[in-house]
Amino acid sequence: MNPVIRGLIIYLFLMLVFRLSGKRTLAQTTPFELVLLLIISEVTQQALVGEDYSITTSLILITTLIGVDLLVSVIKQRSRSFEQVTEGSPLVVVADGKLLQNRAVKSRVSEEDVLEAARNLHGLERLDQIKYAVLELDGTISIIPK
Amino acid sequence: MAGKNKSVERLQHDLQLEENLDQHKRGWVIQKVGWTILYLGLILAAIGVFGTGPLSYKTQVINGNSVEYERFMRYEGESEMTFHVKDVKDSIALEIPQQYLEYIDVLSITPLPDRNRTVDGVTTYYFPAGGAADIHCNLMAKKFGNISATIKVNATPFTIAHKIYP
Repeated sequence: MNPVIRGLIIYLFLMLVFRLSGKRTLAQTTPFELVLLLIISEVTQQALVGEDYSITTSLILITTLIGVDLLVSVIKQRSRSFEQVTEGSPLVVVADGKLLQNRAVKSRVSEEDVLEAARNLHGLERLDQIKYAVLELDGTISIIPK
Repeated sequence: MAGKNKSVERLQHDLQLEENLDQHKRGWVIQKVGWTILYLGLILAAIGVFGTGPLSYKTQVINGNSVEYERFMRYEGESEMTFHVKDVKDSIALEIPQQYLEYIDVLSITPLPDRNRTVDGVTTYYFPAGGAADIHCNLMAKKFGNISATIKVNATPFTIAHKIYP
């Protein structure tokens, strides 16, 4: 198969799968998730290259992936709705020291995740010391202390 | 209790961020549908709809001779096709149409054929044999799409059909 088509299919499939799996997936890379990422990259590499290890194929694939990514970023910049579809938007999960249960459950954020971020970022000890906790686009949790 | 009330909390906050809760709600629904499709795909893959599984393996028996092969193959993926031939007098003739060979590469045949020839778009492999014999063909798909061809073993015709995924 043409390497450009391969590159496009793999790019779009990875984008779709990671979007569907949610922000929290692979947001905090545990040792196991790091291994998982390495396996995914290895499998992707095999699907991209196949039996063709030529420099030409590599150059075509690199150009395809960078080109598509560039195009996607330009479309995101020009279309707010496209950006929201592909990346989503931030979500407040703690307000005035209280975990917003339904938001947290649906976005797979636990109280422990919020407390861990609060300890790491601001040295906070309890949930009631947090004014807001926001689940950001990249899956990390940012904390605004009271 | 949050467990009883499943509606997502509406919130007035003074943060400068565009939360778009309705889009989040749509996203969660789409995510659930996506996960369902993902797991459905996994189940289909496990049972062999994309090759190498119980649904993929097929056996045909005609006149006591039989062939085992995979209906679903993957581009550049290897697969095996085995012919079981009985009551062989002195040789087996395996006739494979060129049309089939355009899609499928025969990587190896065990046992090795004595000779082969191609006439009118059909490649015939000859094997010296007697009694009951098996011929194993190691195949690799070199094009994707659907291919159906009639392969003959000692004049017994088997219609072999493969769906080859990219």
